[in-house]
Amino acid sequence: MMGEWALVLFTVLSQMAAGAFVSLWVLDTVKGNMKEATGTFVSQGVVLAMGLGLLASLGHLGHPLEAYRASAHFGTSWLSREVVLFGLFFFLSVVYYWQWRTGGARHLVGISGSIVALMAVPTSGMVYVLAAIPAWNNFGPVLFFLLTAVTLGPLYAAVLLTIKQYSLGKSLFQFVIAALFCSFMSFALYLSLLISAGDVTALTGWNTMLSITFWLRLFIGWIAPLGILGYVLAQQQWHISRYMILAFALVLIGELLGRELFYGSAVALTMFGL
Amino acid sequence: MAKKIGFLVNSDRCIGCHACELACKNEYQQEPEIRWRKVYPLKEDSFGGFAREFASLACNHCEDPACLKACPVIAYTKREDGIVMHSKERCIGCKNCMLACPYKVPEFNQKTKKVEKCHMCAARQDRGEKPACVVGCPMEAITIINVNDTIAGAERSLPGFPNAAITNPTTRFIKPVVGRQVRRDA
Repeated sequence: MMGEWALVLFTVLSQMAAGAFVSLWVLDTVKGNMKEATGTFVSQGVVLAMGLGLLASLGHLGHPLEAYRASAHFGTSWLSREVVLFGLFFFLSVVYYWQWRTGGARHLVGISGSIVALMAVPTSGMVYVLAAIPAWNNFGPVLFFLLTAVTLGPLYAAVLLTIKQYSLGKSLFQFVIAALFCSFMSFALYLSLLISAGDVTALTGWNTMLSITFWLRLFIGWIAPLGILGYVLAQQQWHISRYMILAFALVLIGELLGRELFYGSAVALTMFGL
Repeated sequence: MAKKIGFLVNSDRCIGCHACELACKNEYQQEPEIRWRKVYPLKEDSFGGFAREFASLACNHCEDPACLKACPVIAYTKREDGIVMHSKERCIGCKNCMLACPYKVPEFNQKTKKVEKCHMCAARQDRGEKPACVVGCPMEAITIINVNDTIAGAERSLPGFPNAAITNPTTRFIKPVVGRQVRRDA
């Protein structure tokens, strides 16, 4: 499935924006000591990521200028639901940014945006839960899309917060390590299930395993960031800032590779074995 | 019960000549890479003996079309008579229907940047004519049937056809008879 770069960028960037939005809202709500300039900067980053994601998604359409009509089939089409929810999330992200910037009340927008983000990501996954593609017709797409949001999102927020000299505790990174570990373990389980399933499902599993992209994704997206974050957190005097951008970049590249693999390795049902 | 039409594909008659494909392409002047109807070779040992057999398939005009459900712009509609129609005007070329269809029916036209598929020659049928593929087949291997009728020998699937339970296609098949021997007694 070459040429799916638009979907790779859209899904990864939108999930990163959703995760970062929720992280910012949680930090703001729990810690409550964030300067408005810092919050403005991070929320601006969320708007930028989501905006770029939406822009990238147009690249997948034959007629991008008619994309606005894609919300028409909300009743049955998961793609329509995805369009509506991410459109709404983008709108709420802009309002959230504006509230940070102007010092307006942001709690309601923050909680609304977080709920919409948490609904939008699984909805995006449901677009790919299709009987025609047995390897996707399970928990996989929803779980992996959520795991992208909870690994990449907090790291993206952390990079933006660190640029603004915001002091982060260890808990955010411990959460990211746990999420990365879950991501790695669940993918290993998923892959073994695919390979043991037979027919086109097993072909998807072997396509994945035998692809160089998988091994790059394994080392760049899981092993290297887990090693770096684990090493830094194990130190008595930890200085995460110097490793932060590296860890974020590795996870981002890993997720982009993983998503390319998701689209590129899937084998649909065949017609008479063809 | 209301009339629901579907294709009856007789693989016992089909000789794999592709005349149905050409009749369809000729009728709708399709782009070279587009084929609304395709002739598939069947696995040679599917029916007991070894034989070259074929099945000619277009859209299966499913009872529960996955394309219709997946389409975000309501480009697909199902007529009273069961034909699944696709509106080129509404299509935005998102290709979601191509992912959702288990039978790989919708095809993306690189020139128009939209998806297209067989509509069972709905306009011809409305005029009382038969579909182009039905008329073009020299073996009379494709016919239009009322799927609510009982057709002798008609089955819902062939070996290698995706699970019919997914979308409930209206296409019916007549299996080839393999190993038929013609004996001339002295």
